[in-house]
Amino acid sequence: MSARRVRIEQFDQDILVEDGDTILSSALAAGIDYPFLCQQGQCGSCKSYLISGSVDLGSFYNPMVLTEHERSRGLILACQAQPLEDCVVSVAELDGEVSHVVREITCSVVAVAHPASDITVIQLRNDSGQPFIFSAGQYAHLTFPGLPAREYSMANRPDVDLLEFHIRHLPGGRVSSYAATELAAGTAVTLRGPFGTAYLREEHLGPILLGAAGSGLAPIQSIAETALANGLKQRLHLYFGVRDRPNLYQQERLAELARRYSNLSITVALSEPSGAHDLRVGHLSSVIAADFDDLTDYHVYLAGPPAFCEAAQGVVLERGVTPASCFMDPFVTNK
Amino acid sequence: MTDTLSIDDTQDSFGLFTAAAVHDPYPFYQRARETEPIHWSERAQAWYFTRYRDVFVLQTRPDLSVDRVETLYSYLPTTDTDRFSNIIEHYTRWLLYRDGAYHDRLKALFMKAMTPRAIEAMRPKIQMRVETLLDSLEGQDQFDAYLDFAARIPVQVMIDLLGLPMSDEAMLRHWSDRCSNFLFQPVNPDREKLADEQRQILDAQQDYFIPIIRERRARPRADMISAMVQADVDGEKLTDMEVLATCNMMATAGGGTSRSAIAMALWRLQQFPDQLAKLKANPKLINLAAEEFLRYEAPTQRSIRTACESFDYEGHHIEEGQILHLMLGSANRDPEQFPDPDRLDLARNPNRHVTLGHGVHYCLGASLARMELRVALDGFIRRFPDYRLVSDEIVFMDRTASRRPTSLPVFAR
Repeated sequence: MSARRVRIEQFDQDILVEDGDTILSSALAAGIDYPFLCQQGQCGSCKSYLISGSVDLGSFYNPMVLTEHERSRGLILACQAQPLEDCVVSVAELDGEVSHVVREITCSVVAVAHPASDITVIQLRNDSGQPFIFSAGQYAHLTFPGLPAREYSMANRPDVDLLEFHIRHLPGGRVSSYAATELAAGTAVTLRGPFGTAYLREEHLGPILLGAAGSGLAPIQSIAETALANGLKQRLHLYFGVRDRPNLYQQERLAELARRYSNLSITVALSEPSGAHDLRVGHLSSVIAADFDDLTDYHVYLAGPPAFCEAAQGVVLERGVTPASCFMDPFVTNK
Repeated sequence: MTDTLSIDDTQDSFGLFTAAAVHDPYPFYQRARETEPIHWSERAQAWYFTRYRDVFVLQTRPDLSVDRVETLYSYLPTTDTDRFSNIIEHYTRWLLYRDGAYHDRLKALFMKAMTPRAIEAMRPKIQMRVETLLDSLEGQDQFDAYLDFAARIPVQVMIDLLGLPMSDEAMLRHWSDRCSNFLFQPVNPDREKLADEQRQILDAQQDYFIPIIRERRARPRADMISAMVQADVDGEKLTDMEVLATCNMMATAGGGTSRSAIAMALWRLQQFPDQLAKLKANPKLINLAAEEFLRYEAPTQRSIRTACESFDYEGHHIEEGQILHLMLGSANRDPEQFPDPDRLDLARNPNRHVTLGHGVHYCLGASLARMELRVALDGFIRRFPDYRLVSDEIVFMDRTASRRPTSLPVFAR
């Protein structure tokens, strides 16, 4: 009889798993409050990330609960998994909240684009050999060489390998000026995260309102793409507001998404338009206020500058959204 | 009623159909497992599987169907069956009794509504319902732990999940009771009377649910009916009647089984005072304990399948179209799988019971059922730690396919 040592990150504890035992049964026997419901690979409560080592995934689990795609991304079910060597595992959810461990990883820039007058979009490759696990809507601290750390939201779906960030150019901002003018492919970046509580709640059955001002589009885009890719069928209203047409970006990507998913509608508004256009005019919170009388049973996600988040939050709460159903991490800017 | 206890007589299927088995089926299961674990019953015209390993394997066989149309026809009066066509139509819309695309379509939707996070999000509401019921019992010396507590929680939870008004609880519970009575069939049913009652209930359900379903189509909310009306696969939406059938399935299957699990756990705990003491000393044990309660007393005692094609199994030839009864309650007490199976051991780990099935037809409400059981028992034992049974005798609903007490009077302290 041989035993493998398994480290469970969230409990900061090592357990021994004997041959033939599962990670879950050994954890429970060790008195760890590991989440579980069915112990039969059918519910997903004990879903965990395999951070290092290897396991036998077991044969009795529901392929709808642990999909091939998830398996390829290192997810396991602790109630089925038997370690083949010493392992480190990370529990995916605790008490109904995501429980991602904050990690510091090294990345490199693989693409830089300037799709709007004040926006730089960058893509990063994770070079660390460790997984970077987050939920749609969360953010991270990015540190470019010689510069202070700044907070940016992941704009990609969590199951996509390349990490995407939208950096808004703030006049006089050291980091954003660097990103707008000097940042080039190949640059090494340190990423620390994930952080934030405004992540997608896929369990919600009612309609969803998404409000993005400026580079607030990054987390909102991640939330919308993730929700739709994961089969959410309720209505998704995505509102995107910028100052003027030169500040618009990602329009083709959003339009393609709306073409593909009939339950997504997109409304774009300009707050200070110049020249001809066929878009809505006004501050985004006023546009939302004009379009909805009653938002009872909605989940609302807001992203952008604090002034927008506060105004929009006021609008949606007046229209029946409960505070617990309005999710936002306002962007605080640093020069 | 044949009340024979000649349990060696295989013609009588080890007494599985007797009144004594309604009260305590486990000795009969044991004899069947030890004597003829794969048994053909002439009386029931069906196969009975009582060993864990057979039940486990057969639950996942793709060539066994859960389609129940033939069984449903056998529940109806033999004359003038057309009168009851709405019963057949209704139950063939139940996900539980369907294979194939319709099943997969609805299942994907349920899995979304029953993810661990969705269940966790329901926890505060379930706790609130449980605490409110416990408040209403506070101060009474004696009450009915089944009728006044266990039987009410699952219906209230379903009402919350479906987004219906709580004022309809009594009506929905009545419907759920009567539908499960029809589906599980009493030992000696009056088929005419049962079918007639079913027809009336299904008509009443149509009057009640259809306007609500249409309202949700027009203005979706954050409830399961809204999720159902918005769901589609390959552009195909569920019809009003399909949504209605699923609502009734949730209320009947979900409402009926969980109440039994809660009540049976409270009953069995009194027979194992050491285990009750253990749970009181360590409330965190409830998560594992819930599994042991589900193993020890499966609310649904058997799972019924039809062979889609002929096959040989362990030296027996199963013909296409034959009915197979997978005896969950017996499998859960099989000593080959569970050491000391008749002992209630709340810390049993691992505990791979078959109460909620596994494979394609794994119970879709299983996570919710577990959450209800955990929250209800934890709340009850905290509030009434010294509860005692008024009588050791307990009267069960008159049927062998499911186990449910008719009442559970207790002294509060």
